[in-house]
Amino acid sequence: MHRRSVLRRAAFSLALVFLFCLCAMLPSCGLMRQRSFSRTVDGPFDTAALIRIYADKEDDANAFLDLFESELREWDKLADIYYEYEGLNNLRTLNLAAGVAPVALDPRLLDLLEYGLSAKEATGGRVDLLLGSVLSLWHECRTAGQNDPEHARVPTEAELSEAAKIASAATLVIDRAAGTAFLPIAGSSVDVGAVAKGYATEAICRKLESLGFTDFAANVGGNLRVSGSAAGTSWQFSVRDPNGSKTIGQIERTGKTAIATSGSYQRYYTVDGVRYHHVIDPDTNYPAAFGWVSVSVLCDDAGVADVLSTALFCLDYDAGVSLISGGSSPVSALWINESGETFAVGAFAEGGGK
Amino acid sequence: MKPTERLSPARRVATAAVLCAVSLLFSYLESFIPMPVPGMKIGLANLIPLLLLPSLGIPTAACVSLLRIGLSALLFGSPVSFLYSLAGGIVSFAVMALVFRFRLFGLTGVSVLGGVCHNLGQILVAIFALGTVRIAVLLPWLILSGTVAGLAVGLLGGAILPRLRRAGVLPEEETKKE
Amino acid sequence: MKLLSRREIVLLVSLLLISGALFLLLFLLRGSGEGEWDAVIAYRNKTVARLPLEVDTVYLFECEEGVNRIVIEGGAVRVESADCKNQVCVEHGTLVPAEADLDFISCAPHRLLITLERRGKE
Repeated sequence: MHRRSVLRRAAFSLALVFLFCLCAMLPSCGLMRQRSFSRTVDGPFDTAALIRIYADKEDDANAFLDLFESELREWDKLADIYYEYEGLNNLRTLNLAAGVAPVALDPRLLDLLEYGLSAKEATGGRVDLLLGSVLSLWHECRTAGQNDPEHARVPTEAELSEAAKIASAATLVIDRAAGTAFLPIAGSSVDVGAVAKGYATEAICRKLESLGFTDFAANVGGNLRVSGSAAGTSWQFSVRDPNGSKTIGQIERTGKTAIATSGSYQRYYTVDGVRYHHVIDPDTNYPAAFGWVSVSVLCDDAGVADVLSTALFCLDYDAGVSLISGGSSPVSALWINESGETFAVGAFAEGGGK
Repeated sequence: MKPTERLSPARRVATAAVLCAVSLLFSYLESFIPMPVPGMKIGLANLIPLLLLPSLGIPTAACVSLLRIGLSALLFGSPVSFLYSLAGGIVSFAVMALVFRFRLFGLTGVSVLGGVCHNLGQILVAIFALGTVRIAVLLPWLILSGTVAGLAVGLLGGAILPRLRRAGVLPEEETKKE
Repeated sequence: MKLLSRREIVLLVSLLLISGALFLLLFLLRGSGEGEWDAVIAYRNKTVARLPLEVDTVYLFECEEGVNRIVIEGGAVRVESADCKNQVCVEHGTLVPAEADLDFISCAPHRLLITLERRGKE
């Protein structure tokens, strides 16, 4: 009898100790899902990037983030048309050698250039990487206008038509065997602004996916690309109204998805009270005047999304719809015009998406 | 001295004082045990009021409890910790006294409820002090730990009370109805 | 010697059930994005401030490149004004927890980055 009560007491005490340990442990491991690791990268493509990955182990997450960051910075240097880097031939090198000689380029750059050429074709010239001569004029005026608003000016007709002539004559010769690219026309230049961010983002994400990484999201200067899920739940994209800064719609997605947005509010400068934004219409050589304030494109490839968002900005609604219907995989788009009206096709129209 | 002997008033005061000091000591020692959640504790100091309820009566137990809280805050704590301790202590003791007085549960049950109510009292004060209900997320943890701690202290109390009575430190319960 | 009366066992079980129910409640709530958020302010990729989103504040960010006036109001963060040339940071508008996974506010000329992170994450 006595022994049994001691046993009971011992059992009870043990149970107590166990419970208490449980109490002590649980708060610290606290109902864990996978943890989210993020990193911000300041600087590439003259903007910033936010990369996020859901992983069980911190080491895996850091490996991913390190790789993404270094790849991003490399692409930034390769696609840079304003600065050159020691020991590296980039697009500025190519532009400076226009009309002179072929330049040996990293095969990834050659891929990008080829992609740019096919984008020009696919968008009927709306997105033209060879419009560099015109675009650089606008870039100069815009930068000067932002630095010194008092003396902001618009490129003259003469300057623009001269540049346009060069641009329309411009060609790009890519020799994959020799690993070179060449701009035969002096004064012509390559400007991959509408292509590079999206293309680089997609290239990096595909590379990392092939290495086995999943459940990540990247926002490279407004080009969004996600893979997998956010630890079991879908990634949430909200589309905001640039005029009122409120959210128009919410989209939930899992799996490979990319969203790119072109907007008149992103880069602009003002001359005599008139805003001049950065998306130049190749037909007029002036900022696109189709009345759009913002165009967002959703598909499964960040490069395609980037190209299409720019292209749609330089097209009216109907032409835009037919452009995106041509593709092999579904493309959704959302247009917002100056009056605040919205037009949506695909996932944006459903307002909820999958 | 015989186990059933009633204590003289002087003895009562002395016993209460010594036990109060013991309670203070328990409270101090316990503060060194790290806890994952703020406010979580074993509540060993509560053992004394628990033992005093059936021994020296509710008023004495109340005094010892309050005294211990005051001294503990004075010696080892801050005005803030005093506020929380007091809140927890008042709620906890009130419930313990009621449960004991109306014989709703045995000693163990009294202790369990005391432990849980101590934490509830603290959360209530925290909600008012911080001005937000968010602190209530700790509730499940504190109810669980209050229950378990109360159980442990209660079982301990049940084990040592007879021994203390046999040793003459504490008197038997006054059961005579007059 | 009886350790616990039947009543006490009932008491214990009920308390355990109550706390269990509360745990469940917490777990279910946590899935919907409840939680505290901080606005993380970084300069040149280094965190310089972590401001709770629930507390309305005005944070004046100053660096050698310029100044940004960061405002937290109504559970959102935004750049109220800045002396940078392109004003992209101001144009962005608000940043709210619903967009925290993917969105950020950046002032490229000032090397400034604002993101939202859940509290408790390093």
